[in-house]
Amino acid sequence: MKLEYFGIALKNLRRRGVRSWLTLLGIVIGITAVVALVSLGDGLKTAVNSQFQVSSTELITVQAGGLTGFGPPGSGVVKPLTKEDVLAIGKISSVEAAIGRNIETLKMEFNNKLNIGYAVSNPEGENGKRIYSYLDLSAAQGRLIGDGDNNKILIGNDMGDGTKNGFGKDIHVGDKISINGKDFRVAGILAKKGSFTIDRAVIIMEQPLRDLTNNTDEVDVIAVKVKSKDLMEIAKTEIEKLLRERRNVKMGQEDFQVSTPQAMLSNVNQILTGIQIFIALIASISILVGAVGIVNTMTTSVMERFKEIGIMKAIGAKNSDIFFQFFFEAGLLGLIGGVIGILLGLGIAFVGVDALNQFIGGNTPHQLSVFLVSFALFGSFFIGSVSGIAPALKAASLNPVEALRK
Amino acid sequence: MALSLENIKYSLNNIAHRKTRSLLTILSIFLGISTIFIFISFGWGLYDYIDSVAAGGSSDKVMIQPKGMGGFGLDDTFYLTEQDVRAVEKSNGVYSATGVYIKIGKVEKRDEQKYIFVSGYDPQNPLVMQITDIRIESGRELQRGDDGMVTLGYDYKLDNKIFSKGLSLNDKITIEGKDFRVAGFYAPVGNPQDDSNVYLTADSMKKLYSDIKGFSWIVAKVDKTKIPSTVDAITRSLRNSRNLKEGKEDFYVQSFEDLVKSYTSALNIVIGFVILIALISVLVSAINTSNTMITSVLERFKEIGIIKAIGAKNSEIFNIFLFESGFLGFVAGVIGVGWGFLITSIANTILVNLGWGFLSPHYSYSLFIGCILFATITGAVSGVLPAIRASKINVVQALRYE
Repeated sequence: MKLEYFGIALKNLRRRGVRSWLTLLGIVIGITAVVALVSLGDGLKTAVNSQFQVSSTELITVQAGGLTGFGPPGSGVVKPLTKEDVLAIGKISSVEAAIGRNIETLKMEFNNKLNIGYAVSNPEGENGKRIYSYLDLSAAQGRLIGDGDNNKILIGNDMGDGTKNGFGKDIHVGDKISINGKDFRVAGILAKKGSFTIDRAVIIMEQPLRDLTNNTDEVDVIAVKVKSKDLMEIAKTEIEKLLRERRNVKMGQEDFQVSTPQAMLSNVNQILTGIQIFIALIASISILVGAVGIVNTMTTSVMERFKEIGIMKAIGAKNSDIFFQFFFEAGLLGLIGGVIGILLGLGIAFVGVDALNQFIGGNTPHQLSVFLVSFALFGSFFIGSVSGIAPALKAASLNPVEALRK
Repeated sequence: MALSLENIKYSLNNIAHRKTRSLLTILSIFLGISTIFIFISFGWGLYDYIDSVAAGGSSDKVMIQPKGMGGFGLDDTFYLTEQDVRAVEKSNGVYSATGVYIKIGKVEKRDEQKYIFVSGYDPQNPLVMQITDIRIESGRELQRGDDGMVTLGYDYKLDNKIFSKGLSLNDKITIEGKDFRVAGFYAPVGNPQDDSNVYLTADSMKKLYSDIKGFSWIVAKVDKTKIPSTVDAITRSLRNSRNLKEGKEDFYVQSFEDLVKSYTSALNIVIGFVILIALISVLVSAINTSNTMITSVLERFKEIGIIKAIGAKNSEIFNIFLFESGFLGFVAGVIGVGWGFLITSIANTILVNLGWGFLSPHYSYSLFIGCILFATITGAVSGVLPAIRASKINVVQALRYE
């Protein structure tokens, strides 16, 4: 029975030629815009996330409080964390290792050019080796640095690339770079990580970095490896309790942050999602306009087929039959428009993500959001049929005698 | 050729006759137009704001900042010194210069604590205040020797903004564990960042932060007519005083004008993008209008034939249909602009209450007329093809048409 409605609907759509195509075009443009923009937004989100997310999922980050979020970790902090804090956290039972790290902005000179770059400390001893494995770092050229490498540095992949590092010349293993006036030799170049926090960093052993910046005790960020994934929340609570005691603050007045990897990204994601929704909303207005187009076409269609409807009713069609015929016709317009729009939109997003990758030099994968596609598909049919309700009701409630007399 | 009164009447009658469809067509156009109106008016308002900032006390200012990562005061790897201030002052084209300290402070009132940017400036040379053109709203500005006194941004006066209870003059607040008394409040600037600033004298700043290394930036008042050459002169003399070679500067020298320009170009992209998306809906509505007009031509096939048979020229028929679609666009434009005006006014009230007063819509005749004109042209353009079709109708065929 329902298939029959579709058959009639399809025939009627074809009969109206240009007008059906124009109505369809309206819906197609709207759906294309929304699908393309939302998919592009997803791609952008993945790209941004991969820029920030480098740590394995069992790593908790501890930072002192302040106006963080404006710069690298440790900047904007009022009361810094200390080496003793690191030791104390390391003793918590659910914690496998606590590793303090310093991130400093430094003056770097190479190829007779000066740049401001940032250096990350690598701790001496066992923890130094641990951090490589936690962050999954390996040397693409040369070697990693460890104890005793006090005048050696390890550089991120982009830092080695003359087109990206701002020095205008490739940096090779064995090259000498002057950092805050002191010479360091490049021991290795890290494999590409896809995140600027690693790819643009210079890694120096902790003690020489402390010497460069006259820092004896302060720690910018503490990376805490938890014994197992299930202990994440417990460890977080314990660290918070310990730091409250050590820093002498009450609950609810913490001047430090203990964040799990997910929580750290949620802020960025919230903003990006907000922008995405805003853009999608504006683009949706064109879908709405397209829907108005369907209402218009269907209203016209009902008026044109006044006589036809009268005849159908006269030979026994029920009101509901007439209603469904027009209802499906409108829904079909929406659905066809939706399918074409989704295909076009995904195509645009595909090209867009490629362009994005070119631009930021990332490798964001092409994603196909099943949710988005099914939502758009269902939504376009829904919008089409809703647009058809009023005209279909009008058609269904026609008086056959009057309609035949027209 | 011209549209006679009779033709206009005929067109209007036709529109009235197809009430539902005309209304729907108008609805589809006005949705897009009001969206565009809203964004242009807010975008324009933002440009106005930037212009007003640039034209105020800031047009003759040059800023010197140390290089670093993150925002002001966050990265003190590099800093500027008293000696640098003197070097700037001695540069050609500079009238005066002053250093500003910026630190992050833990600010406490009762049981609440907030982390906030604290600025320390020399009250005898308040160039930094002239940049934002910020004025005292109640109380007084800081004076030399105002140890233990503080002036605050407007948001501190309000309940539930920074602290749950707003502060009053002479109230005590604690910054980094030391008590300060409120000497004055600044008038609202309209953005949450500036309205939550805390200002101290440079002297009390040095006492409060014993580890402070130097200034986060230097503001110089310069000869407005010679800004580019002055920027060069400052760069040269700072290079000398800091003993750096050319190309190895660890500081930026930037006129406020350049800074504004860089913001404006970013803003252009954002606003352009949003309007582009909104334009998509106008495109869809143009398609709808074409559709309505095609239907209308088809319906009046016979009628057009008759009109032609009694002597109407092709151009007359063309004009009638073009006028019809243009008129639909015009009505939609008027309604769209009206809606846009209503929505932006409401949004503005909400934004002001949220402390985002700098985001205010711009209204001008050119905006209103421009949007209405745009809608009319969109309507007319969508009507061109159907109108041509109508004008080319063969009289004999049309009369035979059932």
